[in-house]
Amino acid sequence: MAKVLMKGNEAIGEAAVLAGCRYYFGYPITPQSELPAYLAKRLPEVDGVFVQAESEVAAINMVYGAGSAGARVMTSSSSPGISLKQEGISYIAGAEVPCLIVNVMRGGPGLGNIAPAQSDYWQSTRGGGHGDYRTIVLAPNSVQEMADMTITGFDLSDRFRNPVLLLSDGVLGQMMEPVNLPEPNDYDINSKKWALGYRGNDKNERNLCSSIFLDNDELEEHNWHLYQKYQVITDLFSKGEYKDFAVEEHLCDDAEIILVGYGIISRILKTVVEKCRKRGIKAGLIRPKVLWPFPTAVFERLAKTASQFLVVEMSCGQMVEDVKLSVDGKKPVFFFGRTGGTVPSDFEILNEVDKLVRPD
Amino acid sequence: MNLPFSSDTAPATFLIGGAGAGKTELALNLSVFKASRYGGSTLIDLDIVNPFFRVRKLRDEIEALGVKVICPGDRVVAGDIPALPPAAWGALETPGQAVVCDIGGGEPGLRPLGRMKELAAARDANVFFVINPFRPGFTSPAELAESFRHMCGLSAMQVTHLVANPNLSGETSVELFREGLVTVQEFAAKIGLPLTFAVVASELAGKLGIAAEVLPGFYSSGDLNVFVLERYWSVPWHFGVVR
Repeated sequence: MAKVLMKGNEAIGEAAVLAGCRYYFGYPITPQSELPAYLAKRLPEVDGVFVQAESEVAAINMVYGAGSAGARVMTSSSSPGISLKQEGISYIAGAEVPCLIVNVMRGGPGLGNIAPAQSDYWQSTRGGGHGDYRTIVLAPNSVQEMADMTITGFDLSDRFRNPVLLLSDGVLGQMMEPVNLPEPNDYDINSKKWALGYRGNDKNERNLCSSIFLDNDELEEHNWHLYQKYQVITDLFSKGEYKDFAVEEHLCDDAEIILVGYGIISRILKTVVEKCRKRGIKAGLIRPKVLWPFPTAVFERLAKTASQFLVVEMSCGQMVEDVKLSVDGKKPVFFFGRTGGTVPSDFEILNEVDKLVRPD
Repeated sequence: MNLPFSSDTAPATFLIGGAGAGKTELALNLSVFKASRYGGSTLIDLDIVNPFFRVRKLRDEIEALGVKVICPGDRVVAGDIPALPPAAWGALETPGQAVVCDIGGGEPGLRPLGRMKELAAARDANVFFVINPFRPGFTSPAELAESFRHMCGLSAMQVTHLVANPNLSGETSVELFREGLVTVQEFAAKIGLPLTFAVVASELAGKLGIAAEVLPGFYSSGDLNVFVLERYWSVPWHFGVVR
């Protein structure tokens, strides 16, 4: 396909269709509404179903239903709407139903505002709702990656029977960039042997997707089963086949100060690194592309060579906790954040770097 | 060069088209151009769709260039409610005032124009339909015809001119510009409307052999009228190299 100019929100929509997603349930909220608007038009063209539900709670439960039936299904929202979906996400994780959930983050807490933010990191990486569960969290930093990670997200969610969260922000959702879209995927809705309605079962038993385990022992067994699944996922992302996908390093080998940021911030940090290098400051960048499981190993390794870390977020400091856990006290970890919808400039971050490397 | 459209007799210009056509950047540039030509101009922000990339964000910078910006009041300026600034009507009802109206992209963005229809007709306004043939839904003459028919119906306005803005943002090459231009030219011939000018980013102008001394400004490139833009959006994440 030839390159086209797309908004991040639209690119997710088209990529979802190309990944074989035929079901979308959601409710509008700025700054992600172009995504449901795109799919409202696009899904009927491929015999898909688009439903604007009466609420976010209704939408996520429709996702639960369609995912249980074996369909590739998604929902999307922005921060307050994702909060509303948390009960359903917990049920979906408990029942091990695959789906893609997109959060185009805006400012919070509460109603906040419609400007870009990264203050849902904790909510995204700690499960978000009740109970012991995790969602795989992907963090794109361009319109191209909004498309690519949508497709990867569906694949991961099917492979691990686990919800995948695509965590972007208002800038990525709204900005336009050229994007190369892949060829469509022939997804077969009847390919999942665990799904409701699957007819190939030897004993001709009916499948059930549920998160209810009334017996204590059964629930405990289920929780440890989930825990072990999360361990497998963590291993695959830290040292297995997704190791390189999970993190991007830039000029870290000889870096004295390592900047850390995800999503849109990582692009500004790349500019800061280039400017630092021109001024003789040996700076590098670690950009986590996957936020859960967190790419701990790269921090453990670089804590041996770098002198300090500076984490930059559009929040009051959330991912910085994971960086501190990974660096494990071996080197100082500093933080710089802007909130309320302000995207920090390369100049102000450079100023922070200056203060750390040239304290006098 | 002379303007490729009758701006002196019809100083009100409405920009419509799909989301991502480049209307806001063009609106900023046209209003600055008109301000320098007429000693002032008014830019009306009627974008009720795009939460971030809209005229009001650059209000101070544009007003410093002699443009009066009309946008929703301070209490709702950062919101996403469909509030149209009442001063827009005053500006459009003032005879002779050079006005540019920036409209939000796509279907919902066009709806406020229904309320402007009578005024636009009374002003004998220019209604530009801006086309980026690298946006989904606008990539061929057939797609363009369908989108054009649909959007004209929603806007309730009579399009008077077509404007080509072929671009893939920072990846726009001379070849890509020319390829996109052909698509728009074929569409223009098909529906019988004039392709009045093409929009060219300043960094591309030299490669097209256009000596654009004053920006923004109208120039010629062979038989084609071009409007060479100054870039008013400058955002930090554009500098970061992706991949």
